[in-house]
Amino acid sequence: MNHLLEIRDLVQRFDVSPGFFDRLKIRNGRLRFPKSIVHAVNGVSFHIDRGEVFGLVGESGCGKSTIAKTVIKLHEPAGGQIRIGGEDITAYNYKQMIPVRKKIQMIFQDPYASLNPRLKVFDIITEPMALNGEKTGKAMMREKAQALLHRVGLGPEHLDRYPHQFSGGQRQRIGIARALSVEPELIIADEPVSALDVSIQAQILNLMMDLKDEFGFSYLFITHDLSVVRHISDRIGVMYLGFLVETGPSEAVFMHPKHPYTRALLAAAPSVDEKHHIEPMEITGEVPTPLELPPGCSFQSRCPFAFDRCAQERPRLASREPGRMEACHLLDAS
Amino acid sequence: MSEALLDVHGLKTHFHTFAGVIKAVDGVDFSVDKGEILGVVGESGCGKSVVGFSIMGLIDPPGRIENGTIRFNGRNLPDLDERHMRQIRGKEIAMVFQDPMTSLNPLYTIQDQMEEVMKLHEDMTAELRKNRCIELLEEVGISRSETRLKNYPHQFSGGMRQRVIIAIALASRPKLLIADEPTTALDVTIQSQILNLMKRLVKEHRTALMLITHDLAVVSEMTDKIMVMYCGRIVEKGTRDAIIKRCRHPYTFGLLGSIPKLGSRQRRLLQIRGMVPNIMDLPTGCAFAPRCDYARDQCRRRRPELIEIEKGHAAACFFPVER
Amino acid sequence: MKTNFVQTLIKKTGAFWASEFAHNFRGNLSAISGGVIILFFIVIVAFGPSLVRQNPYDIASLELMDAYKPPVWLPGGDARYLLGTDGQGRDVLASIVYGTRISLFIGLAAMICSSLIGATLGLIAGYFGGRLDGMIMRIADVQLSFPSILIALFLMSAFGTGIDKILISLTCVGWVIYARTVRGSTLSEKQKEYVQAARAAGLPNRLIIVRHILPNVMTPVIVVATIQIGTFILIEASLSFLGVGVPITKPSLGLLIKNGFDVLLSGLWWTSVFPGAVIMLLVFGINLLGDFLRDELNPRLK
Repeated sequence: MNHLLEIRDLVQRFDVSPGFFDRLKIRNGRLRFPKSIVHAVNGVSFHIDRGEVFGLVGESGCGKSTIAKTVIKLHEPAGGQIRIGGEDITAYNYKQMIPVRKKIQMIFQDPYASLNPRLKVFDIITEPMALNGEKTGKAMMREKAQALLHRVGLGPEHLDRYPHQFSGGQRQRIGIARALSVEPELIIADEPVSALDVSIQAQILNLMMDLKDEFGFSYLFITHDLSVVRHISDRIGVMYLGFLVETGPSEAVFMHPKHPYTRALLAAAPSVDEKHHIEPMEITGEVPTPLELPPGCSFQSRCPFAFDRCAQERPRLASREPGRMEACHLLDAS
Repeated sequence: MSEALLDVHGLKTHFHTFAGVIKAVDGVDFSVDKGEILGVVGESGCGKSVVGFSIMGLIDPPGRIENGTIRFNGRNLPDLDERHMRQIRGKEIAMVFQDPMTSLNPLYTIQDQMEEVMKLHEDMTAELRKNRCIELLEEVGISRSETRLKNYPHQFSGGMRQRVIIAIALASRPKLLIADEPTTALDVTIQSQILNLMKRLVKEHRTALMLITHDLAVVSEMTDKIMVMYCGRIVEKGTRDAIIKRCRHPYTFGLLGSIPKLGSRQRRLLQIRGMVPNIMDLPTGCAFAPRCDYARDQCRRRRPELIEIEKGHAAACFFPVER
Repeated sequence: MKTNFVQTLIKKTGAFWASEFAHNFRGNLSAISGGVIILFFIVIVAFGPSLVRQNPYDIASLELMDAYKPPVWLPGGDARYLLGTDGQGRDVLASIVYGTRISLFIGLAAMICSSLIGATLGLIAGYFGGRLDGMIMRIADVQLSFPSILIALFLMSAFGTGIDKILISLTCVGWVIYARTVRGSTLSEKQKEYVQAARAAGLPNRLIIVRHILPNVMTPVIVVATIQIGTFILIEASLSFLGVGVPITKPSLGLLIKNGFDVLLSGLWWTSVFPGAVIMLLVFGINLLGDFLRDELNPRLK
């Protein structure tokens, strides 16, 4: 049985080295030109099945957005494998990706930057359709576009308007319509509601869930907001500094978090309702730089439970309970 | 009954633009006592930031405080001239803004920027100022403060910059601190650190805090009192418990229901239908009526005033939600 | 069908008149002045030759006896030649009218060439980055160190005079600013999500550049282009003044100034001063409009 999306040991790096002369340094009396590499994703593996919502959660810089962009091949992966429905697309070139792109679509975070301000809504929504070689007549395209807009709660009169004439929530609906236009199997949603007001956020989340139930696609839902991910995901993955530190069904992970970072995240997240089941835990310090990864566990510098093994050996994701995986030495000890 | 530290009455701040008049704040009454934390909550465009700027006297044309009083320590702030307002800003009332990346001048060291406030309002020798800076940095939890004084803002992370900004704000021991979305741009774990820090400092020094934010969850953990704004007006205000547990205004009710809960998973979120109306074209009567499930004729004709629900809790609604 | 077109035209004009842009224009004295000046020059360029009695470059219509007549309000002036005549009997007013056309033509044509080349290179450099970017920018830097006069001299000595040589020299110098500005804007638009959305949808690069990025980087180009017309007019005037500009058969305002320069100190000032004043007025008007455009097209916060 093939998973809809499967990622194995995905690695992504970015070279942010400054220019030649800026790199010039003298170390140990010799001229060196060290490169600055951001280790954005360091060997992440997970899978998503049909009709499932997988939430990828973490703070800024943890690599979740990078994973999203790498899966859709906006960046070529530096290592690892990406499989869509069993097909290995890791090394696919532009031409080979064309049929694949029909299966994966993306929704972006910023409703004000994710739509070309100079194009009409009709052109924006139908662009993926036109690209994927759907040679339908103009009238048919219009009908389809109208149907799409209707499905996301907008009217046919909106087709000829420009993005600046819409509110943030409406623009996000247009972005969703654009993604739906080619009937994808997987939609990658990169912080789709983070820039929206609370009441609009609820509308869009409900819309996304309704569409999923109606069309049967899956979501890779990326967010930093724990309550949102709790609400929408079937399974979640928690990321820290490019590593996946815990994964499992969202109910289980939220009720009984195992990895210290997950516990800290839950303790820190402000909540309107009482969270009696989470014990308070304050972690100090800041996220270390992704330019030079520490040798052992990436979290040990801030972890209140770190012991000597943590600084020496990098923990691997392991399953101690069916369906759940954590990367932590502490859990081995017991 | 002691007089409140800050007493705002009938505040109206309007912006006269080419396209029309924006009634950003349209008749707002509230008070803050010494050492109290007030949460000003609402979605974008509700006017909460403009309230903060109005108190500080930082409204630029085409905006203008049309009406109302802002009594601080017995004086009406809009009456004061710029010179007197400058004496108050930074010393008696301080403000912290949202974006820690741009709130500090990248060209000056942390020490320069901290001392700038001190030089303005206090009379201290250079030595005393430096020691005070070190003291303040340690208070906000920045270690190795003496070395860090000479650093530039870009050498600090977002969370640490916000700490510095809080340190600058509290340097002259103001009586009131206005924080406009201070942690929105920060990560969850850092946000929690900064909020706990602010709460601790504010309680320690008996500084009043006006926390302006869109995040109801933050406000529910931090505040003593909450006021909810919509389209430039207060729709409900009361103690933290009254609002979170016993809210009566349909908007507050809808807002609380829209937030996904951490403790449980619901199938569908409560959603408020429609959108926030165009601020230049507000409906007659209650601004929330077009989106309200409980609205009746009366709501569309007359604008509801705040009526008392219980002691210390009021809602601007003719038909508050039944409990 | 036709009425439909006229109707939309009227509607659009009406909408434009009521827009904030037009409103600010009406309220801005310098903008209105600039507009009036430009309008005046457009009229001159379009209708000038028919309004003026004489075609100063038609040798047959010249009367050598009328050489160096002063402007009409001075003693010795002639009502036929309002601003006087030059050494060949050419009506200064008529020369200015014809000269303005040439100056404006050169300014506009050079601006169009520069902007097309510069914007294209800027888009390519900004979008593709890497070595291509580095190369284009280094060429731009080198280009800037060559004054247009040097380039004109070289071209002249190699290929002779002519308007086309001037256009080449001006374009060689003028493309750089577009390349730089457009490259900057391209870099910033490239990061925006709508470009990533297009890439994620599988749009090929050339379509992304033309359809998504280009329309969104046009604004600074318009501002620069407007002001550059004036700059080019001045550069061309200098080139002509130095003798490496337009040929004598098609004198621009700059060449007119040069022609009168030799006799300036003898008191025959009108042949130089009037063309000079006209250039000043023209460039001034362009700059006023350009300033207004720059302030208006600047994306406003909040």
